[in-house]
Amino acid sequence: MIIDMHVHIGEKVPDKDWKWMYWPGSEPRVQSAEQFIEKMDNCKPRIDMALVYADAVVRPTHEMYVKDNDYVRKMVEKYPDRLIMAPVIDVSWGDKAIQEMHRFFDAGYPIMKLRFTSYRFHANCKAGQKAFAEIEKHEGLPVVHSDWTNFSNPLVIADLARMFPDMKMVIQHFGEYMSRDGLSVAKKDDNIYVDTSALVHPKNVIKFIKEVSPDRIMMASDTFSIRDGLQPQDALNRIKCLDLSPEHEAKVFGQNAIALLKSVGVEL
Amino acid sequence: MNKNYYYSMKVDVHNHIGIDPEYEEDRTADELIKEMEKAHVDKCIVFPFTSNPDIWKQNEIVKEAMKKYPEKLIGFFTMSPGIPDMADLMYEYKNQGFKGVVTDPRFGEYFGAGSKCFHELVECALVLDLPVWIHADNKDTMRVSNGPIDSMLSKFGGVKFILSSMYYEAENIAARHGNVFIDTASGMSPSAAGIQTLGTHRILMGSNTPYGLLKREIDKIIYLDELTDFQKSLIFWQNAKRLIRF
Repeated sequence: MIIDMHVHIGEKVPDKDWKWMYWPGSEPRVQSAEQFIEKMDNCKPRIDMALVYADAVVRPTHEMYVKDNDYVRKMVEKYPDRLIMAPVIDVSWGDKAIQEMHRFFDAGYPIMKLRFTSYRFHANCKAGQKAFAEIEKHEGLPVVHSDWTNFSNPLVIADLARMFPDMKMVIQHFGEYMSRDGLSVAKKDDNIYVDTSALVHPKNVIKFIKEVSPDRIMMASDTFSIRDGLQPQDALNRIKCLDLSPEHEAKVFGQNAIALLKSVGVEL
Repeated sequence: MNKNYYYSMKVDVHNHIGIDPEYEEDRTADELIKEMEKAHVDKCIVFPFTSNPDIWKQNEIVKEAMKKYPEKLIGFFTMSPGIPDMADLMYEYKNQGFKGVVTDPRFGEYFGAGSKCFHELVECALVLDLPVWIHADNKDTMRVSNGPIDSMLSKFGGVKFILSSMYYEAENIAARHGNVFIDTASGMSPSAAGIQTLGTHRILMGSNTPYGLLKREIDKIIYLDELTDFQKSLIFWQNAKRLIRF
């Protein structure tokens, strides 16, 4: 089975809403569940399932997050064989963010998507710690955007991995430009998993497998926000061209994701 | 004029009250007033922590503070450019006595020269005669590129902007636009070379309390031996007075 661990979907909104947010003529940044499923089907090899969430940019009201998360949930319930749910949680909303997590924990969805760079919080800040404590309490899985900023670089995120050593977490994008730091923290903390989306140094996938573990790295495309036109095929190609052994390739393409998702109670 | 006149007032333009959810900081107006008395600061501009997206609740805290200390505190409200009914809300805040609006890259893609909502915010501030504070409290505002900010500042020449000194090249950006002030809060003492780029007439004393200290900010200005007492008075209060007209 092939699983894409990083996909954004959203509901198409009326043109007037786009005009409200952007200048006329700008492209709405959204793909529906159906559009992505079609892309999965057209990929070679075909992608069987995907971890999906709404676009993780900042929304000015909490209600907008709720609405977007509800759309994703509706689609996951419509296509349970293809899509796996993770709500986007903006921890800057404090108690409201915790309530939003509970809404999904209570419905049986244990994976939470966090993107600290969007609202410019340092991942290891008190609000981040509070969110992680809540996820740990519910035996969930945080999937955390990473990049080169001082909000979300692998070193800052790894602080959380150390504060919560019994909880697994995914450092998405593997640190982007800072993938060497991604390698370094994953070596030290075996509760850290990484995904391969938006990775600037693809050869570090090989390094990760050799120097860290072949069991904690997962293929991901980050469709929609990164090079959408080529995705998710490009994400598959980038792993394919690394000439991994068939055993390692199978792990990266799906086996590792399956093991991780099952470990937090996701039924596949 | 003598030294007593130049040093007769101190106004600090960068102070947060309310709740910062990132580090669970809870700063009250009473705490700020105590610090002002100790540091001999006459007036402070106050506004919410921009890390708090619940602008409605946080602006209410500032409103109450203005009511309680009308002679000491001048309120600015925070505004997230993407919220529905933004212009109506800005009119309401103006009527409540707020003197300026603060916005920040934390408010996401709605912030920035490319966003229609951001234009509306600045246009509304122009009509309401409110200065616009382009705030940031982190060096990673480098993710907001300077070019679009430059373009916005020149597009709205009729609006008075305050650009946080935290922005990369804040002094140089401000030097290119006569409608832009900067504050002193970025940590290090302002250098004579930096001040020369801009002139002292558009620099405002701002300490970024509760993370900075009022006393420290005053000391930074006092120890600037390269400036005359008159020039120091511009930074201490005269520029703020010209900007806010208190």
